[in-house]
Amino acid sequence: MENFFTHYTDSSAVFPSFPIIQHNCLGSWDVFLSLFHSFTMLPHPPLLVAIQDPPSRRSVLPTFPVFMSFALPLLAAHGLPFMFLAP
Amino acid sequence: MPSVDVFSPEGLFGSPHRSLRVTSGYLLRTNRPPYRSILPERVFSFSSHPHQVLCDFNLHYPLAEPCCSLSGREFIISTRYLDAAFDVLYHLVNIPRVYTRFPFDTISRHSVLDLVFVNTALSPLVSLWDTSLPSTGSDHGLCVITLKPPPIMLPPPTPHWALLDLGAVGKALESFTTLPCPQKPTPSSLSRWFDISSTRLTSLLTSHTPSKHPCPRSKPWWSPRLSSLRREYHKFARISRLDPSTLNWSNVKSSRRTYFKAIASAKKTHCSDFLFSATPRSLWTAKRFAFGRPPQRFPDLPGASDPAEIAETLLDHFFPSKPPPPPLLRLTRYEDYTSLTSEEISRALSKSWNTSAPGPDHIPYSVWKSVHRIKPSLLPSLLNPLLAHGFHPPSLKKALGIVLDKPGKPS
Repeated sequence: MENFFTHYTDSSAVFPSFPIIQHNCLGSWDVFLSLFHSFTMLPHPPLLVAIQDPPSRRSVLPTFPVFMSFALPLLAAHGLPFMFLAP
Repeated sequence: MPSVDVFSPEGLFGSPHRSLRVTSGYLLRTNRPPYRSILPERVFSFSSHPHQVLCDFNLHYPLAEPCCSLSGREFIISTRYLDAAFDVLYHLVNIPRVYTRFPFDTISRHSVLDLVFVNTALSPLVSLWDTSLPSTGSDHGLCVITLKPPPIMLPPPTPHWALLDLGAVGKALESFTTLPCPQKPTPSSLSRWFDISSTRLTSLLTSHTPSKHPCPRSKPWWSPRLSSLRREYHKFARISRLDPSTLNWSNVKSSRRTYFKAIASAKKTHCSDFLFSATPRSLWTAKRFAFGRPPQRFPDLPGASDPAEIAETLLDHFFPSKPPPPPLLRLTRYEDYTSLTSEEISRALSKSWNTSAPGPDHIPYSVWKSVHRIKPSLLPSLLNPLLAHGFHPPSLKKALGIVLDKPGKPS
């Protein structure tokens, strides 16, 4: 199991809650952009977005401002449908 | 399957766990068993730390779709993943019958393919699983999982001893008598007699005392004026909803402004009053107001992971269990014993502070002093039979112990 590590200071002090989003993008850029724009409707922006079947272009996975992408180049190269984004 | 570990050095939402692992996956269909691209054992592995698994499992799950009829093959495939999850103590977060996939064609039915599992360490922190956000264009719904600190577990109501009805207690105590002590008692019969007699007395005291109901929403700064302002604001808001004219809307805005300003002013006044009248005793309360309550800390002890195990380990360390002495068949009555007088009990009680921490019965010394003042013969009648037989009942050997946290020091 591949692991990516990230660090936060103190979840209870900094964040009152920890929203996580799960979505299957069907490999579509439109769905991907629509997903990130729908975050404006949430009371708190998500801290972690787990995307299944993200879109890719020439084996490069998408990015979005403010969010960090966690994905191995290997995943994109083989078109594997896993991706993580966290602010 | 990629995972993200989120570290929280101070503990995740005040819990003793310092990390959270989130694993995402997308299981594709295959032609070989288990007919999905990732083995169940790889999806679910035992972890004592909080772990969340978010996957598009591409299978129909009987627990998530209880009304759906599954084919035999689908049932076998999903059961294999279900068993793997249950074997390592993972729970399904999805709400049954809430669909996450809405196919574009009219032939296929709605289903639940996106599942969220959490292990037992994380399940108390899961606050919400929601799919109410609008569609993004995908045939899968958007699932939001919110982790929050677990709700505050309020302690049960406790007697408010400061409001003890002494007049009613005095009348009840006049007719109260202790049960006759058994003749030629055994240790167990004398212990039972003492427990029953003391419980009758403490029940009588508790029944004449109102209970305290602690509430996390208590607002010491609230006033009747704020209640009337709130009523006024809601009244104007109701009128504006029925008749959305400009005049009504301006009334809503002005009443809302007045209401919120009054709340802010009441909070500020309460805070400054508290600090103005602060005493050395209320210093720590002021600090708690200013900096908030620190998260609960538990000492790190080998082989103890939760507070109950820590308490047991500490008790075993400081009070190792000894082999019990051989039981006495019959207690001997010492005829030459010196009985306790009410004056001796008065002297002993006068040396005790009213605010000293009470024992397991939670009755403070101030109440025992009042009881003894009302009926001086009561406590000697409870204790003298114990002295006469030279017996210390087990219920009097119990105590409440609290491990104090020293801020800024390692456990």
